[in-house]
Amino acid sequence: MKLFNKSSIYIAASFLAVISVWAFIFYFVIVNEMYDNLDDTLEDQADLIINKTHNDSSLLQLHGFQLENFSITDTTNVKGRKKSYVTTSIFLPYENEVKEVRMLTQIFEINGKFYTLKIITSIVDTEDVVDVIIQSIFWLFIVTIFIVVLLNSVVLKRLWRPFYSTINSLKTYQLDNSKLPDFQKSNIQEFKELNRALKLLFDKNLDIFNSQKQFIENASHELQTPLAIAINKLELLTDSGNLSDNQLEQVGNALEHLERITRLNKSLLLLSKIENRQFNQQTAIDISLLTRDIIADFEQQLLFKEIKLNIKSEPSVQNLHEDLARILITNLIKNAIVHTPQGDTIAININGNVFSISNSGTLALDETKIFSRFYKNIASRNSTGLGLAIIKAITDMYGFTLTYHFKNAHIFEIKF
Amino acid sequence: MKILIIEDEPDMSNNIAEYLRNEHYVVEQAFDYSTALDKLAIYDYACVLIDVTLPGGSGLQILKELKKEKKDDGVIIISAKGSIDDRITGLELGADDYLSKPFHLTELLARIRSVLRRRQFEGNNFVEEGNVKVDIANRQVFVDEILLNLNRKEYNVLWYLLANKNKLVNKMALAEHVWGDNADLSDNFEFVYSQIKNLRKKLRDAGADIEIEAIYGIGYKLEIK
Repeated sequence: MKLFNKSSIYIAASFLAVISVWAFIFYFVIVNEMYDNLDDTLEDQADLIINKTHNDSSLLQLHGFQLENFSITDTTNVKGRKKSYVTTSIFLPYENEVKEVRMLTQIFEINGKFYTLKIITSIVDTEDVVDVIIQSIFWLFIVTIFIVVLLNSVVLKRLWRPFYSTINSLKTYQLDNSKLPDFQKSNIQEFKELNRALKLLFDKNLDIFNSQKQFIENASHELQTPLAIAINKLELLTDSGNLSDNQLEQVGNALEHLERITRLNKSLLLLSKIENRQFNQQTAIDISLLTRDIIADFEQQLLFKEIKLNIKSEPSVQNLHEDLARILITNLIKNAIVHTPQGDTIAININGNVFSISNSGTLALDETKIFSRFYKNIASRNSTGLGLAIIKAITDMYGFTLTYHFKNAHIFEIKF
Repeated sequence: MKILIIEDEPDMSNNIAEYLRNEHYVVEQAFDYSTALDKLAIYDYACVLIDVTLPGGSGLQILKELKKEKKDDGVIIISAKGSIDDRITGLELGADDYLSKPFHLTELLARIRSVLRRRQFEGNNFVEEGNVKVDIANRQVFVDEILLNLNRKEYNVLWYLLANKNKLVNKMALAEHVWGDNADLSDNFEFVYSQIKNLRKKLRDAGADIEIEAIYGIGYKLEIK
């Protein structure tokens, strides 16, 4: 649920509660005030009538609310000589119905005789009052909610804008492109703090990420000299002519493994250089020409494995680093040659912005894993397990799409 | 012929020195920047091997000094960085060649011989071994003055083995020299072997005085009959 929907609901619910309680109190206050007013009027009228009875004794005969809104009866009870107000229902002959009225009962004395004066006034039906109150409250509530929602959608949305902008820049942020997202400036303390905290977090992570990348590169460099020394020492040993055939073979085997480390090291170095964006120059390269040039280098290997190569190509000029372009295409072709069985076919298709290479195979590879480092589908002694990772790193760097799918053949495709 | 090795790692330097001395070169070693400059100022060398990272200064700086003094020593840059920038800078500054660590001693020897030959023969260079003559400029091989039909890679194989004649050449070193970064194809050794077999057959058919011996498990050796 969105923040502003949730806050609207909370505000509406609390408004409903507050308004209900308020309506309840309001009702009593209004009714009370109404009675107060009525009582004042009744009292004034009573005084007036009592005064009149001094001059006009016929008034003393009016009882039973026949025509007037008052009735005077003789009384002997003098004890409760005070005024009392009640709300009651009585039968009014002149209206011929029972009505709810406010009634003042007052005992007064004329010429030593006591009379009870009952004076009534009709009151608004309390149910009507309740109805009116409920209605107005209902409309008040509707209008209030409408205003709240409106304010929420306008004010809250405006207030939270820096927050959403931060979220959006986070969505597109990638740690490896090392450009920190620009957060929208805000004068709201909380958002300022959020942005500051995020920036701190990013800086720290970026530092770690960069030093990690730098570490791989440095480690690879540092390995080169000891590797060179070890390889050269063994070469001197084989060159000395003092070794038996068996010893030569042992040394040869050790050399092979050192070569493997060397290749691995070079591939790692290349990979981290690509990821560290150390290949900045771009030249316009015709991928078709480049591919044909590289294939010429593989001519004997293809002959040796009796692999048939079908190539269909149109000129396709792309901008990238010359060495990376060569590595990219070479690795793809090399990968195809390694995994093509003796006597099978490799097809290369260069068409517009798409380079695709396919080699026959029987089982689909796991496309989520093949581009990760050191993923080896088949145990291959000489493969570094980095060839496809390097391809991926290059295509990622330039924003090309690299896909793999299986359709009777392994098909790798690059969209430039 | 005098060669100077400028390299700060003693083991690295000693390996190269020992290998080159076996080839009857006169070898001197400098282990830091200032010693290197001193030696270069006093003596002339046929070839100088310069490591890029040195205590006290950069190998590329030495190369600059050398060119400023208009010295004609052949220069091969050696770097552990293997970075393209180093290679380009080195070659732009006038180095004859560039090698990145780790390298094979046979590769180094082949490069040194190329540099020396280029400097000594000024382009007009033929190498003759027995009845085999190699025209380096045109990449052609003649046996008894008859052109031998070799493809590009076969020529490279022969040329590399010739540059390291009578030495045991590691099959990996050979593969790397000839097929470069493509040397790591999984069944490469069989492939290299098949290429050598073809070359051998062509040489034998032409009656060349050259024999390529396979040394099981490690590599090949070219010998003059």
